[in-house]
Amino acid sequence: MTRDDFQAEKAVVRRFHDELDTASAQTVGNVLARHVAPDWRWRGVHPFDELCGAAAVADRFWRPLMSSLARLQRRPDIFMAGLNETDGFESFWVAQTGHFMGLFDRPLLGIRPTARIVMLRFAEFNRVEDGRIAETLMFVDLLHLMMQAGQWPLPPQTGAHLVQPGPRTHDGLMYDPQDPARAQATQDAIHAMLKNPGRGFFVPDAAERLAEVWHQDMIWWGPAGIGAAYTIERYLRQHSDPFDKAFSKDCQSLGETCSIAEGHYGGFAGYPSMRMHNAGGYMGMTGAAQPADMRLVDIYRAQDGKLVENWVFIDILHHLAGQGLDVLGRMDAVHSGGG
Amino acid sequence: MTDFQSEKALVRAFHEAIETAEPLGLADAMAPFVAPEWHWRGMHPFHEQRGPEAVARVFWAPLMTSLKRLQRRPDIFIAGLNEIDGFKGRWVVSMGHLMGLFDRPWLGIRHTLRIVMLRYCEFNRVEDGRIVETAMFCDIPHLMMQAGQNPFPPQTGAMLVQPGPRTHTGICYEPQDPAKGEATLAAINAMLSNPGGKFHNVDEASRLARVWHDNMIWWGPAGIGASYTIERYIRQHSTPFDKGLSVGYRFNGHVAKIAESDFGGFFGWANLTLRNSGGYLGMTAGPGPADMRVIDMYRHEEGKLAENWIFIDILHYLNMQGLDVLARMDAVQSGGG
Repeated sequence: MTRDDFQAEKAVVRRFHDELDTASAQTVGNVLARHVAPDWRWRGVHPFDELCGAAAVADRFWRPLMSSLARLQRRPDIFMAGLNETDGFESFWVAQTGHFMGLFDRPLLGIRPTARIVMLRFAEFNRVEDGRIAETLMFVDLLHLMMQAGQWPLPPQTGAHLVQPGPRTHDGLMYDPQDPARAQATQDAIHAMLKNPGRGFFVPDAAERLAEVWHQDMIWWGPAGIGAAYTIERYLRQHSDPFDKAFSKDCQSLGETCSIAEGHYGGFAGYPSMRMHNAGGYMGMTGAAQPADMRLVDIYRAQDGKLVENWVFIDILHHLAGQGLDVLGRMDAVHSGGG
Repeated sequence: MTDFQSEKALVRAFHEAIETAEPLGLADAMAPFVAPEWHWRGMHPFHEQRGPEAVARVFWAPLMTSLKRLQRRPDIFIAGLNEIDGFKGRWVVSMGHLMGLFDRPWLGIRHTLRIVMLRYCEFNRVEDGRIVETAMFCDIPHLMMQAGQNPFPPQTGAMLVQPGPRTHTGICYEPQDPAKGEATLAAINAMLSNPGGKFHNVDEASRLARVWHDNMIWWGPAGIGASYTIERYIRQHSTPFDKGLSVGYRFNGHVAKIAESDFGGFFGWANLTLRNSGGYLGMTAGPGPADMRVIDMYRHEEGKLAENWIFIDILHYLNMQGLDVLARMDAVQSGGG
């Protein structure tokens, strides 16, 4: 690591967010332009996908979001910065997770408004260079919003649906400098989990194996479509077993775009992170004709050398679209009395 | 011979014997009415069975253990000669609901202690005073929905317990005018061979109007649902079907097709083999072609079709594509997956 203090980069992102949060659908384009690089590389979830520059991101993402979710409010739970392990600690990244809260007053991507509060789960990774946002990964959980709006498009999920709280310890908003040794310990705990030996999740000793790197009372705050699971035993039953059963034959890791840690927190984003072939049953779907990409964000909280909470964002709409199912298009048609 | 009174009497007595039997006595109750090598075809997870003991063990005994005070409520009861084998086989068809108190789990579906109505349609071939061959279709996902355990993505059509024919003329216990049955069969065949382009042609509504009444009702299975009028039938069933299933579509023929009075229909095993190219039933594209077992029953009115009751073995169709719906739902409801 070349530098332990990310206060300058954090300040860039906080100023950016402050202005963004008070922007309107009309002004958001100019606000973005003031803070981002001219060739800003922005990568979002389906159906936003990859965009370049402030104008495109304003048109495609922020303006529709601000028009649909009135009085949009950012409610961060985790805010951290670090050097990117993936590129040999060259680039500076600032990550944030939490919810965008608003009044769901107008349709969004064909999802019907409710005139009520909705909380849109998000995770954002920003690369800062020369005082500007040069690169962004923005994950939002649209399926989770559909569920809140009573428009669930998929078969029943294995885990729990709930608006998910931030870290139990409430120490995720790291606006001040942190002890670098703590970040290293967190990164070590994440590495230990990733390298935890075993023949895959779906083995008899999985619970013991997982207990080496996870606390028994771990929480896997999963995306809508899978849901949240609490304790190692339920995590196995509600996420890792179904995942492993469906993907054991064909699951390819593609590496991460960014991986950082600060304080008790760390995580990574991959775009895509994996490519896998559903053999049937995963998320209540039939087997797939071919492998499909999975874009992924994982954020962890470490405690005493093990992981204890995990916030997970998966671009499930993209993963299903890669298998021939346009969830948003079909739901829009179904709600219009067609199909 | 165009009188099917003895075949009808046999099937009615068979039904009576099932309804009044205890779960453990079902094989014995059925034995006098069926051939020892009785060939029984059911839906997933029952599939093909031989003889009364196997049918009782696999289908009727578990069903009657779970759905207490089981009551058959037929809406259509007809008999006829099978067009498919050159009008040789004599078939009796019963369609309606099996009603009961859902008092114990069935196939992993949680019981509700309340009324459930299981849609069914049964084709029976009678030979020498015995039932020798049966196709027994029932709508398991429809029961799951009634029990608040819908395993599917949202469906395009309506979910409701479906009434029988609007005219209440479907129960043909008495002999019928054969000319009427011939007209019904002709109307069904006209629909099956209705010339024209694909479903998504702009003139699809006019093409369908040649053989269907504009106020047609397509009483579809759970997972698709019911639709009313040609326009909504196109939007809620035939368009999604055509969009999702037009690639690699293969028609395998029917096993039996009969008509009597204003009613008629057919079944196949499996009628169709097709691959979901994505979106159909809210599912991702399928790994390959899968079989679709279907029963279609129709009501004929003045030369056109007015109502259509459809039974599709959707659980089998999905299972062939790697999705075991019943097992997954059972696991999900036990807190797993």
